[in-house]
Amino acid sequence: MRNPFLILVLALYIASIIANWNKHGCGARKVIYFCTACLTIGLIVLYIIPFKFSIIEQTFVLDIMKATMNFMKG
Amino acid sequence: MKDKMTISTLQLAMLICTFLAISSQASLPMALAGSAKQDAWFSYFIPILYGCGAGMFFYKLAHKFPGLNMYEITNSVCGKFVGGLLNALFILYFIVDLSAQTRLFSDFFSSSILLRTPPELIIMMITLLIIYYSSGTMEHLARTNVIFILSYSIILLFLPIILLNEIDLNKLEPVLSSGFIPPLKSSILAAAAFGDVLAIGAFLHHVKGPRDIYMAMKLGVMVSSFLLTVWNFCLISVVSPVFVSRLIFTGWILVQQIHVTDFLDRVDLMVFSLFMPLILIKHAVLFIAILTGLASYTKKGRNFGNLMVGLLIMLFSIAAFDNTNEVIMFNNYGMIPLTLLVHIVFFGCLSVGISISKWTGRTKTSPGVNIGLFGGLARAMLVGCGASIAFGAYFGSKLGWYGTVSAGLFIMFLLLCMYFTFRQYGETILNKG
Repeated sequence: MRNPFLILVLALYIASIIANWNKHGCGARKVIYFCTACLTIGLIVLYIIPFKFSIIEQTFVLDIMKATMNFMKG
Repeated sequence: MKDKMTISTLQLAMLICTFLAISSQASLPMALAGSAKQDAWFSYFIPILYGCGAGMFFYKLAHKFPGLNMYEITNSVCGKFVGGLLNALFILYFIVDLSAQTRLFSDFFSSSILLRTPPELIIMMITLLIIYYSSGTMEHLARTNVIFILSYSIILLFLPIILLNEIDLNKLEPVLSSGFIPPLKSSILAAAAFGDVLAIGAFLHHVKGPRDIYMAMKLGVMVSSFLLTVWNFCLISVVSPVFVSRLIFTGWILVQQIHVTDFLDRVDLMVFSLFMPLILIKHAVLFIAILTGLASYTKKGRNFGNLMVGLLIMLFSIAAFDNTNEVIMFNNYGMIPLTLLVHIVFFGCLSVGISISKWTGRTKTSPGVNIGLFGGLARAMLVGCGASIAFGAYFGSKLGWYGTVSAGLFIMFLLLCMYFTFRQYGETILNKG
């Protein structure tokens, strides 16, 4: 982890999962699963493939963005 | 459990206006001027058509499925599994959009007003505020929005007058001399920025009837497009197309040019103290749309997930982008393919589902919108706007005067279209109750 602020937010996220785990029956758990799945994918892209820093730079989004920009400005 | 508060047509129209007009003022003019140069202020004709089309789609949905929001309609039309997948796609789109916009405006404020505040702290403050806002109801947001958007719209409408000493009409020339393609490209960029208006679909159950939804969408889109046209006109004629296409946050420079008197030198501070709450309201609406989508899975209230989703957005806003350039590029150009993909998949599946259910007799056919006299006139003026751009783009390269005449006609038709839309609103909503 290169940004201490991210560690703080991640810790808060884990605390909120623990606090919400048993709320509203299984209702809260569905939200937890959804958010955690999104977060896991984001973190895998960021830290398991450690070439560059941002998600945008590591995914095909950057290429699409550049192609669109060249088309629009061209 | 849904939030059952109702909001009026005018409140929804103003919410749409905040949704569309405010966030497109920060970095989008740079992309528009990059594509269409001095003709960037013609970019909002196609977005009007897109917004009215989206309004018509919502009208049909609300007529067939009264009292339901878009997520529930998807579930009931496409079934639990396919509907759930489509809703997940929509929620992810809103998460990406909200994360990118949060980062964009935190970068904007950290590079313009709060120079020594770390962007992470600005992101945290924005997210905490939208988490707090989302614990209330939509009515609170709509009422707060009315105060700010009215004041801000008045300032925007008076912008050409208070900038009169800075406006140089020569910077707008030659008008439409480069043909159809540059204004068309900038219109696509502007229409993609209007794509997140679909978040309004999460609040269909808050409005009384389908006619009100259509009218609110039409009025909101018209007013937003008009305000953005005025904004881009001022930017191009004051700052010049070359600077607008190269500077990142040109809006900041434009409002700094306002010098009413020596005592009213810092009008920019007043403008941005109205701009910031409107941005927060837009973020809160997107956030509530995400929470409402998640509540469609859990069948419970939407409030208990707000802290987790807020923290997720905070993490994505920080980790997804490396620098301001990436954020700007993503917001201006990266959202086009994403918006297109979401629209094709979501509306394609929904239209197929509705057609199948109509074929099997599960839903009734919705009638067309009764547009009335003023609605017809507004449409005629819209056709006039399109015709004047087409005329200018075709003949503008042959003789400069043709372009200038077409620009004058465009302004006249746009003003008349606004007028007739307001008359249509009065005719269909105010008079008939």
